[in-house]
Amino acid sequence: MADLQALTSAIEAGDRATAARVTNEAIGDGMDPKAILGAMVAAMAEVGRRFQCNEAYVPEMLISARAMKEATALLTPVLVGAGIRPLRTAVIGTIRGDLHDLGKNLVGMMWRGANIEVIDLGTNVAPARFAEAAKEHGADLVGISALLTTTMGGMREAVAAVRAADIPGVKIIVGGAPVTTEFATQIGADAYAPDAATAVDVAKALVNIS
Amino acid sequence: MSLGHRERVIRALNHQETDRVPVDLGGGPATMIHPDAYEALLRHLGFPEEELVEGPAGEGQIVVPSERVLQRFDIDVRGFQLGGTRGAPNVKTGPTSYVDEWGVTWEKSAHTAPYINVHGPFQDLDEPDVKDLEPVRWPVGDDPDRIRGMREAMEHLRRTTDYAIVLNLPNSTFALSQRLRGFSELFEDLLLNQAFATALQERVTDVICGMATVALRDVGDLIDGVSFADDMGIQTQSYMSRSLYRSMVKPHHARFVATLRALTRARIIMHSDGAIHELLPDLIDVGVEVINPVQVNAEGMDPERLKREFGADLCFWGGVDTQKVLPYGSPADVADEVRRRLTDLGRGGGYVLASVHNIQAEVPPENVVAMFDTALAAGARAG
Repeated sequence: MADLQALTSAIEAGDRATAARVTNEAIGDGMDPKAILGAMVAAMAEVGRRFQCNEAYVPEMLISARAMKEATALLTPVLVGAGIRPLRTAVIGTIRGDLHDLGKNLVGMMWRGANIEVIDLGTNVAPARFAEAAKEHGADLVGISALLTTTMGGMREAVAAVRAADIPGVKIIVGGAPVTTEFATQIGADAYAPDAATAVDVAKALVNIS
Repeated sequence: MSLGHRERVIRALNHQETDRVPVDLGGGPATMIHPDAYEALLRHLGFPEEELVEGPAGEGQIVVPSERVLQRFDIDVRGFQLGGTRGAPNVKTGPTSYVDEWGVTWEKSAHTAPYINVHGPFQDLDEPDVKDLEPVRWPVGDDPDRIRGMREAMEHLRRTTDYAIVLNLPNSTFALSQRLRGFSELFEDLLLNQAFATALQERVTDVICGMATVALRDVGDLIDGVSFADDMGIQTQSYMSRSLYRSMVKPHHARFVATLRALTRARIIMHSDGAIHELLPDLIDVGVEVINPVQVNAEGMDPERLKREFGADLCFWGGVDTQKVLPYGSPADVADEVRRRLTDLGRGGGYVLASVHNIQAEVPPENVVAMFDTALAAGARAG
């Protein structure tokens, strides 16, 4: 039987070749796809923890995310065949006028690592586009990022647009270097997250997944 | 004892206290201002409208302040940048796009928006190999066209004014390599494609050493500071661990700074955003003497701590918070922030006051005035 601990370790180490090999083995052995997915999610949770404690940095995060992405691509057809869907759906983007995307990308990777489906709208995203995409995908979560203080006003508009679109149960999380909890409250967002790893905990709490 | 501008900057960068802390706007790296904030400032000061002069590419929307504004704030520094070369001009590929001499594609999203680099020549390689670097046409580093007119302009400034002069070299090894390879892709290469990442950075460093050499052979004797830019941090941590920096990036920084050191006695200024506290010992080791912009609200960048731990070896250029205080504080808040910097970073010299990075669009003119006027009035330090 494939060793799922080896899968977890491979993703933690950013070893995409081993991650892919073990995933294929596990699928071939007919292992429960939820268990295989669970091993991947556990790896990304550990990577997030390391990032928060400065035991891992951006390079390590990125190669782990890539290993996870490649392993997930192999598992997805099996999950789909078994009717297993991601736990929730999220739409993320960097607000209009802002092209910084590293933080947003890390959040996207961490949310995917937590088995949340992520639709990434990219950067320089108009406020209305967040609402449109959230509605189109039936999003449970909207994540908005900004690095420039100048662009934060657009976040307020984006929150208003999402609210106006009347998407049932949608939760809005904002983040980025100049953003604060106070600002998040002021503009009507549901929460603020200071970094990608915390963003997972915040998202899970908001949309009731453990 | 009232010092001349240049004298003040030289002494401060020599870790000596001066009559007042030197102040900068538009002289050193990342000290310019968004056109909206600048025009509001002109109106606030009762100055006539001006034709705006765009700042260097790749830093967003910024303008170079005029002499009238610089003199109003008694700014001590004037800055110079390398130009492009007519030997390898930008190639326009559309109304809002061009390719530069590195093969990097730049686009702007609207006519009034700044150009952003969107794609590099090595970005799409799945398994990058050192061989992939060969067929590429690399910029000619030591093309003297980039510095045409610079010596004459600097000599003129020397003859007619007493300002300190800083030559701001462009983005350095890692940032340039990221433009060529992809912002995230190069981070991954540092771990997964180390031979390629090393070879790429070596080629890039060859070119920028060529540029620095031709520039400093020409004006190295005239300048008081030389800067280069290479972000090494995000808000919460350095871009990479100390050990990865030492093995994969530091050798290139060391070679580049050694090139600068051999050709000028000017102080060597490194611009890096973010939380770089962890890397400072290594940056000092390669020969960096001044750090900018000193992003004080990033993790580990508390100014008192930086001064205590590194103040004997490093000078600080920047420090006035632009994420919260300058845009959202009152003028009194800005004055308090300035006084804090004059004390925590300014005691014993070693400090040039400026905003942490370019002044953004929404910074009220009253706050810009408060920043500089507080520093000018405070004397050697605040208290």
